[in-house]
Amino acid sequence: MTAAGWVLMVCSLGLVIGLTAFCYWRVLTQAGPADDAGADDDAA
Amino acid sequence: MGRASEHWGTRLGVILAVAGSAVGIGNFLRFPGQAAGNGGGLFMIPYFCALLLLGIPLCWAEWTMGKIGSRRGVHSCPAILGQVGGHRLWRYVGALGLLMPTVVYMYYVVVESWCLAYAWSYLTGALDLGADPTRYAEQAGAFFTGVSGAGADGLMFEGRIHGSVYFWLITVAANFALIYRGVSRGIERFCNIAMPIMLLCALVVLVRVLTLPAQTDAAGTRGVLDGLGFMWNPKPLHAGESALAALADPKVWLAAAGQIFFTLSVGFGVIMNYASYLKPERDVILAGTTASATNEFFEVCLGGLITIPAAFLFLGVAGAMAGTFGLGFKTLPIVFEYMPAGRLFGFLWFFMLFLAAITSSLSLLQPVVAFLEEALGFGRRAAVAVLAVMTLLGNLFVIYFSRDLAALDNLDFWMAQVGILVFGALEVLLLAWVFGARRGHALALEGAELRPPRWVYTMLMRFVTPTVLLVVLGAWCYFNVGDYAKALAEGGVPRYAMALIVAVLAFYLVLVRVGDRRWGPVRAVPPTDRPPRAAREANP
Repeated sequence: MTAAGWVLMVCSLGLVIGLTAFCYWRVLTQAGPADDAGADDDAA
Repeated sequence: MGRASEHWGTRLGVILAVAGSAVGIGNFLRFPGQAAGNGGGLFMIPYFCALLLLGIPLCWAEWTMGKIGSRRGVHSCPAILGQVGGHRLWRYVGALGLLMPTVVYMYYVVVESWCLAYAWSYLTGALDLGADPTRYAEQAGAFFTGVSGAGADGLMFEGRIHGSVYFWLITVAANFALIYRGVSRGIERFCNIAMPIMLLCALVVLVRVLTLPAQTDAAGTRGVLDGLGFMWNPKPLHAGESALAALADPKVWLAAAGQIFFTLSVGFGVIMNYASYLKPERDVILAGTTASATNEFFEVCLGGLITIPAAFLFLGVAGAMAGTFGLGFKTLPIVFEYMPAGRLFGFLWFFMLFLAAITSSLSLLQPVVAFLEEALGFGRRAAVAVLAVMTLLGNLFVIYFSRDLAALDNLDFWMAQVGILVFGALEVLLLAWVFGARRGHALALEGAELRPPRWVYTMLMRFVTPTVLLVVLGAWCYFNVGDYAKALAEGGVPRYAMALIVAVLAFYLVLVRVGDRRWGPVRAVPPTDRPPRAAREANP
């Protein structure tokens, strides 16, 4: 594996993992109830 | 109407459901092949550009339109587009948002059943390629032909029904049992369980692949790093060229844009439907971005490290570049045959693919169920029954015309390659130029923590994304439509496939007409108003 391959792989994985971690951190620490209280389901 | 509206149970639940919709077989089988065949690691540059300029904006557009549906208490694509466009004509355009999920489901569930068949075969030991490595490829090909029926048309081979029919019936039953349970109790609960299991299975296989010992054959010795290098090293498209020349080839950019469209499930209308079950005050920007990021994690971090490196390690270049189905259903079984404890890892891999596929196929059914409930006033039981009958007929068409997977291939081309680009373009043009990009931005930002600047949002929605989309659509048609159009003119399965598409579209247009009369004129209600539920349901 070449140096350029390493750079492209690490940057791509880092970008995606960083974005995913950031998004889940924001979702899990978001203010307000985590559930949709009063959700009603019309399934049988 | 007058029925209780459904909603997602939790904030995380909707994200996992949308991510589950996006994460499918293509994440693990299509993406690695596209990357390795289009410049290796350099492919990620157009890929991320397409994600930022096409994928994320279209996700935001669909989530915003879903939010409008949530405010008005409607969930089907025709009803939502009618509201967004402010004219009943848009309801008929919304029929495309029913056509594509339906037709894609017709063949996708068949591929899903192959994954189940492979997982079951590994579990029971039925998938055995024998003791002679020189015959592995032949045995793997024969097994795939047996499962898929790719050798000939028909449901009966050698006096018996071929195996895919049984696994297809089980898969269909699982899909409709879950969809019948509803959005929260069916789809959400299943995705909450399936997504972590998928992650666990993929991580186990990933660790196994990255710790494999080097393999030696006539071509030399190859280690895991060589496999990763084949996937990630920049490489030229043609011998003698610089690797960077790949970035100047429009086909590479086109492949990246197509992959982003395909992988994020945008342009089908399914995200819009799922988003409409959010409570109206929910943050659609964060939810949409998180779902997209989850999909990218499965695609780049798991799909990009497992499939091609493992295939290259054991089989070299020829094994790694076998196409989506070839790689998944012919090459990987050979890899698992060579791999220590391959039967266990083969089961985990195909079970994960089955879960990835079923979370996607559920999202293809729900938009149509919602439409049948809203347009015809059906209860869930009746809506599910009508959809089941219709899709079963389509499934039988795909299974019957299985020779060289001709029916599947033609339906996939017209719907999942051309159709999503057309409908995606219509969606973003509707939101940006009819509804208004500024209104869309204001609506998207209500309750949002991630707050993209208005100029960024409006610039993307009005100019950048539609322009890129139309260029991609034009180039895609230029490079690809010719062969399919020629096959269409010659008749046979391509023409039958097109007739099926037209028949389904005509059926939905008639139903939209019924719904249109039932719903009456579209009321021009300001998007930030939230009328009482009764009023909303009376006039979608």
